Amino acid sequence: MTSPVSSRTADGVIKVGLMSFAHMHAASYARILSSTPGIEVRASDPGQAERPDESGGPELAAELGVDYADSYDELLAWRPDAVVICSENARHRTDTEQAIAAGARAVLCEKPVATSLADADAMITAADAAGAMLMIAYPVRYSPTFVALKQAHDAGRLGTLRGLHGTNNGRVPSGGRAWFVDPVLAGGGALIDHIVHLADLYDELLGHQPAENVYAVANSLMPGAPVGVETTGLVSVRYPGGLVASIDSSWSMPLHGPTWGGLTMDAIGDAGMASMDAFLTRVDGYSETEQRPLWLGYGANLDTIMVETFLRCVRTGEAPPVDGRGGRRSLAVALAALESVRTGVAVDVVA
Amino acid sequence: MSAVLRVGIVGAGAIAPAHARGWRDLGAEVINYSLSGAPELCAQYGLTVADSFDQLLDAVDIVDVCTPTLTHPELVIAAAQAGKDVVCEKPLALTTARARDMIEACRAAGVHLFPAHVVRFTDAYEATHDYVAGGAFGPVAVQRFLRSGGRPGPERGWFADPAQSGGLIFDLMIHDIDIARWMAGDVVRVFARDSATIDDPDAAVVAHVIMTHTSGAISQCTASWRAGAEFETRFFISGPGGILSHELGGHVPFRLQAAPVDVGQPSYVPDGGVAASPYTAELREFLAVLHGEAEPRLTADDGLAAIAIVEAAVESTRTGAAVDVEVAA
Repeated sequence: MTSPVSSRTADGVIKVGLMSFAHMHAASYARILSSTPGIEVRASDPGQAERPDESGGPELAAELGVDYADSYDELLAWRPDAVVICSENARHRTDTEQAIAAGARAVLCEKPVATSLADADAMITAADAAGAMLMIAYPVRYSPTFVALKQAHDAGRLGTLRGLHGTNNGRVPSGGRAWFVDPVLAGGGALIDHIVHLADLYDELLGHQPAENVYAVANSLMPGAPVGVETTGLVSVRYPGGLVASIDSSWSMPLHGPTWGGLTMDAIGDAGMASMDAFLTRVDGYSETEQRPLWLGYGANLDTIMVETFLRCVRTGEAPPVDGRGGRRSLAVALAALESVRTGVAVDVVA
Repeated sequence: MSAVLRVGIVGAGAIAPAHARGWRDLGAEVINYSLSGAPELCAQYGLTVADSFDQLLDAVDIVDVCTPTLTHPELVIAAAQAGKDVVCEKPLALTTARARDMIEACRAAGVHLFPAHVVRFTDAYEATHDYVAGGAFGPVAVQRFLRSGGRPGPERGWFADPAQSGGLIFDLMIHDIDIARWMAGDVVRVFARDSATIDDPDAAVVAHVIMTHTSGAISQCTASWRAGAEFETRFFISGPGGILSHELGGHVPFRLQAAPVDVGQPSYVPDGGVAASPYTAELREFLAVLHGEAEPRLTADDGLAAIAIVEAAVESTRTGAAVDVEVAA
């Protein structure tokens, strides 16, 4: 439990530092933060020097209407109460450590928490040692569809759960952000990018019981990624009690398809089955002007709910819905899947 | 062969009515032999009851085996030895060894053996396969299939007994395993998990299978049986050329909201709604193949290949390891 920031900030204003625009979610978070009363936002994107052809840096900050610092040192010298980390996956650890060392009391870190369990452990240790909060950004946790599914399960309406079937599909990230298909910076391709969302939902649904065993296959038949980076992935997970869970984490949405992808889950129990589609809230159509199908999304903005939840935890000191340990458990499933693809055999999940 | 097509349906269980209607639609004269239920089936569909399997064999040109899976090999081999062409419900057998015996017996007797994998004749799957096989779609990268329905209870007899039906993967998921192979080609590696709840009559039974195809494509099939479940199917196929997907509940061309009518016994066979019967389509194509008028979309070797994958999947659920599959077809 961390101490509430509001008790330390005389005027009740929370200063939030946005570290990196490498992940495009940074723009969404910046817009939400800057439109929230009582929040001051300042961003820094020093890594943009490495990706000069991509949006970022002071130009993007100006476009988003947030203040900008040229370096992390300058940003952290501003003494933010909290930071939001949207750097490349492999840099989450150093960014988290730097922010906490500089006095930040709360961190909202993009998923996956890191690209190795050692890095995740270091982040958890750093946060614990400083009494800081570490929250991992899993927006689908806040989907009304998942909330309803979990409520049905918690109320016993599904009976004993026997199987979970999840899909999190997307497009091969091409053009926008090259690091997503860099095996070092991202930690992998479609497997590391998308397994963790469902692994996190399963984790929450199953009361944080760690996965036991994972088998996965992958290929690179969807075009647009460098050689050796997987663009599809199918995963089989065993949880305690023999519950069988599957995850399709493929980047299988066409580049010119009507949407970026989606997330669905079916929970099958002795007494019932619940099926959720987190992004079915949409109007379907076709644009003659643009010669493409239209999906007009509506309903809850999951990023908004997640950022508001983070800010509430910062103010009250309550524990975040997904902390570093939760992030580590879902990362462990993704890392086991990558190892299974490398070795061709089912692997036990490293606890 | 006489002027009027004479067909003998063996068995009068859950799937027999769909075959009886199909043969009736094709103008066949149908007799039925079954250890139980024959008089009721025959009364309802205008068939003639045979007193014995031998009497049925003497009276027909085609034998249509709709019995418990465990009994398929013996009946098919006997029909072949009597010189009859054979239609056999899926799965052909509970082991590849027995399926090979059946294929060999039919080959030796010079008769056809048609495995009734009806999903190949179900319109959404047929349309999808026509498009994929037509080449416009390009290679398949990844595909996903789901099939779920009511769990057979003790009132379903042999069907609820995995020793006779093979269980969830053998009886239900084999449909999608066959379709996955139809879309993306032969399978070389299989991994599977199941909920291991078949012995608990009140539990849901869930299984999934992950397959690697010779082409490099990967597929996942999920199946479940649960008391009271509505029948549900889904698929999603993706490749560099695009995506194809279908969901039974999402494609309902006709809906009726009205006071319920008494439909008697619940049917095991999914209600196809306003669609033409895939069972009739399947039997029509078998006849056309028999008459040399059509190429079969599937052969007994495809039925064997599906069993080889299922056998590997069941082994994988036992060992927890991936299993290599010998390309059977």
